[in-house]
Amino acid sequence: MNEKNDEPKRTELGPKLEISKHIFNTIFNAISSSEHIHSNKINITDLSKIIGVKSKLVIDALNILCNYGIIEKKLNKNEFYQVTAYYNDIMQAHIMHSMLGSKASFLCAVMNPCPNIKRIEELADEFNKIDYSNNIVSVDFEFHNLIIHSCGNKYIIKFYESMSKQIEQYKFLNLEYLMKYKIDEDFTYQHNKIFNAIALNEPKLAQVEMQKHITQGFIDTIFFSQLDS
Amino acid sequence: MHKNQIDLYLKLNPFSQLSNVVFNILVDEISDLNLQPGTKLNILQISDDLGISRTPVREALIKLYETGFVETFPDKAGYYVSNLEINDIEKIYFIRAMIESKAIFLCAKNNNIHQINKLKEAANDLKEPYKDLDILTLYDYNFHKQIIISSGNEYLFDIFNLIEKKIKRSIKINYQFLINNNQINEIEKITTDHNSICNIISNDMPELAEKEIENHINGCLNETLLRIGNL
Repeated sequence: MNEKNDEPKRTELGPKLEISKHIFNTIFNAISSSEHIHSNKINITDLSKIIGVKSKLVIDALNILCNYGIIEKKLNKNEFYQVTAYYNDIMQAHIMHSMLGSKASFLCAVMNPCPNIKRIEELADEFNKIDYSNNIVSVDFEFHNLIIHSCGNKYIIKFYESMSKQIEQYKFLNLEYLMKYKIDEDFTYQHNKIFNAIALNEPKLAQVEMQKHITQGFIDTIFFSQLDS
Repeated sequence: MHKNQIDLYLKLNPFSQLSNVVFNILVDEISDLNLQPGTKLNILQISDDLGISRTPVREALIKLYETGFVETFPDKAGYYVSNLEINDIEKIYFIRAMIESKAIFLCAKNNNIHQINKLKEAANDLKEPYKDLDILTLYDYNFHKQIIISSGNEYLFDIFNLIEKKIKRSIKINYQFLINNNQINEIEKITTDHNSICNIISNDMPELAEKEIENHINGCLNETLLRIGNL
């Protein structure tokens, strides 16, 4: 992707941070699904072997997740556990955002044609050409809101609107980090992938791509907020 | 309908607006199929039955119209209990599959023994060979509600509350058909599905539980669409 000369300067992550981010990504996905983790206690040795890194890096990533209440930690020990009570509000809101967004994409892909498909395409293309200034926020918000409002299920629309404040809060943060750090460039093409799946009437693919996109945004927000704290 | 219903609602929430109380009473009557699709709602009759003036009844009917429980026709006056629109049923079941599969995944993942036991109790309630429509509806509904509760996600519960009356109505229509046609084996199949889902959760298989509940609900959708065709 070509960068314009007047584009705001974004910080390169460097190899150490890239690795940390990759590990964090993998562990978050493992925790959220039941992949690799089949008991309440999180086996650090097993995870280290599966990812192929030292235990310390795994523990660093687990500590970040613990700070966000996504897992729990025994006091004064490096022992981590799945949350036994319920997730905190941040995680609960993310679960809802991911669910509503991905199902809306599914429904859009079922329709032939999807309403507003031309505008969805324009917004997906615009996201690739952005200059990482504040314009990125309006383009991203319009893209996601348009998919929700095009899905045709009034209950999804109603509920998404009722949650819009929580969703917008962490989307703002996510986009802030996108403007600040040179995150994985593939992120900006994710809107295109979602549009393509909708335009090709591939509902399951549209659902998966949207889920991946929303989850990636959430992971990045948690990860980079630790850098700034 | 009876004046007692008003008193009951006001006892629970003394500050409710009367039109909202009437709205809730009528929604319950429609969801419980005491008011069948196509029934004309007589403002005077309702206000006499409930022992109140016509104004709150009129206001309640407007709200029922706005929420899709009643409809109007160009060639006849008044409000009529709406038929279950296939389009709306499909939307509701889509939402049900979405939230219940997510809820069951979270329930299985959380592995909260207390909540899992409550789910098993709810599944067991349906085991007896009931033929009472209200009991079957209640126990089936309770099982699905318990799935949502056991997830611990308040937002899922909020979505469920948004559509719970419509869920109850469609569950009742299904059982009404099954009882009227003496399809006991179909009722037993529902019980088997519920128990199977509980076993999967107990065996710590969140993804499989997710698939099973989705299949169960999609099966219920197909049955409901068939029943509506027979109303």
